[in-house]
Amino acid sequence: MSDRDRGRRRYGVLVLLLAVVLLASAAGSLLVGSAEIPLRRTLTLLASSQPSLERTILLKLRLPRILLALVVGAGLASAGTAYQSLFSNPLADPFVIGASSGAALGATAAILAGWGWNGGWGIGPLPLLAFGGALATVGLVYLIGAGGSRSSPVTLLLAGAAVSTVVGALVSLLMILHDQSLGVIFNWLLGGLSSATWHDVRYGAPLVGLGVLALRLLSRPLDALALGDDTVASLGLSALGLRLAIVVAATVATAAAVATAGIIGFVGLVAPHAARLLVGGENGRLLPASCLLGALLLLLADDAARTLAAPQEIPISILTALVGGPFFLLLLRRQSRAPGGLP
Amino acid sequence: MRTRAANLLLGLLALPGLPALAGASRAAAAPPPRRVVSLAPSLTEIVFALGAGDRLVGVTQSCDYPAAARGLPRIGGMTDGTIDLERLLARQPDVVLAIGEDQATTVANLRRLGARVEVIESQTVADVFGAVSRVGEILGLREPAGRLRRELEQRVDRVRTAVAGLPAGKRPRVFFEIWDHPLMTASRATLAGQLIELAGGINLFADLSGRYVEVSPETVLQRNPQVILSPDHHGRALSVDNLRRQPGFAQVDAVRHGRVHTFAGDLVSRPGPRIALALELVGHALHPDLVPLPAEGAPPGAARH
Repeated sequence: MSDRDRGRRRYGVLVLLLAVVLLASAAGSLLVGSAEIPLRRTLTLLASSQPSLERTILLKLRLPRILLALVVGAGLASAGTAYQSLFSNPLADPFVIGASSGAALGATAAILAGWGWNGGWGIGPLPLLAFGGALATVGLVYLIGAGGSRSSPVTLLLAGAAVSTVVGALVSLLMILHDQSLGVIFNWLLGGLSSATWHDVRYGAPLVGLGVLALRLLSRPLDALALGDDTVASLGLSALGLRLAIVVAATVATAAAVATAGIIGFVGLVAPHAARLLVGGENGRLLPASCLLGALLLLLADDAARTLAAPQEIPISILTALVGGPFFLLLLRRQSRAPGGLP
Repeated sequence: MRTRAANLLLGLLALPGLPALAGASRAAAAPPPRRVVSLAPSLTEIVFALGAGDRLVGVTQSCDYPAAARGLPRIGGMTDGTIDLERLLARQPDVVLAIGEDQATTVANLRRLGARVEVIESQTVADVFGAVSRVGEILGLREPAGRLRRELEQRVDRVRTAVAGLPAGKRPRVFFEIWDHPLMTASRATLAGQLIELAGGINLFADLSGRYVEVSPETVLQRNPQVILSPDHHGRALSVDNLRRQPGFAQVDAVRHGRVHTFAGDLVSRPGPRIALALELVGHALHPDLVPLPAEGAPPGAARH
């Protein structure tokens, strides 16, 4: 057996293992919540079709919440992977480079205008504006932070921080000027899956899925891009068009995730790095692994959010920041020490 | 340092208003204040209820009751940082009525500038009685204040007596939904929480500390409220139907037995003279057989079923 075959087999086993762990955790999460429903009772409830309060809790509250955690986690992780590869920057993440805050600005404007998700197949004004906001901020950050000839990873992060601050100020300004809706927007910005319904799954999941799928299809060209624009050209692709397609796909995933669950930071940072340690840096393998890990991460974070202080809920963004923030600092430290790392 | 500089600046800007302020600080023996600024909707309502609405020369953006309050000059919001000191001083008030909560910096700044500020504790139902007396004293309207206070105390007592002695089994479990997305409730420490208990109910989340708390929807279903109360808007207008449609709510006792009620939001959250009416409405929602629906003074649509 050649090394290549062995590697492929090892990867297959890993992804299968991850998928099994993820499925088991998702099933296990059905048992986790502030209302205690024992395992045997849960199985009985699921098996019978008799309506009951506990069955409602399982099927109408926990199940959509679990699915949404998986979808949002997968979306943010895929977007993070793509941004990191595209910008050749290990610290890029939808939150860090401003995509999340851009989406938040767009969604805030939509909420203030009284527009929602409606519009046929889930492409209503709210996700559209969220997407527009995210695309505009990412574009701006990209132009300032990565477009120049002397750009460095630090420039991208600084540009991301500055643009995020400006966009955040605009969101605050909109909120203050319309203080009747202040509560709505504020709660929504905090992010969370506690009020997840089947409606959110129905409207959010297809869009996130679209972005994730597009990124998966673009994974080979994304690898080529890392080798240089000439490699891309040799594949018969335009480097600029390819970059644009990747930014759009990653931003669709981010915007849909933010529009359904608010701003949840650092999942798009932690999951890709953990996945890279497991399967290496090739995007064809990295993206699926990172997707599964991101879903798992957000699922576990939400399990914690709904049980740690039960019956009080803890906003999930607090938990992801508590785990992801230190992780980010660790990466930053490693990067700045590595030869050829951050200047 | 920054605050001091800001104060100095504000002081300079307000110079034309200063003589009036200096005069106002001579206090008690002076004639009752003619120009009054209120920094809270509850205090604005008390001033109007005492028949002194015409003395108000400035109110907050939230002061929307009675209707006459809406036409008055606004001096900003009701928390530190949202109150426009310049505009407030330009109204040349003889007295500024403030509440204890979230206004400490404003009160200190106003006093440093020589304004007469009266801080009136205003959080609980019992505070309302005290606040009516205090405002009456400050405005030189002791007699009408005494009458209003006695009336409010009697009405609150009537509800309290009606539900007194009810065994725990007859006190309904009440979920007060402050917000839907995320699901938030009012703890026992809030005015709404107090109304529930005075009206003979049991707060579904009596075990939580904090004031307005995000709670788990599944616990709401599992604890199965017998009555659901809510303000009539969560940022947007809200109907009993909206409330019923939340996932799983169809199965709780409150919805199955049609015991979901919405109230004008300011009624159940504002510690003003309408608190007696609020208590009567909540009392009627919890114990329709013991507490009659208040006929007189109930604003149309104050409670919907």
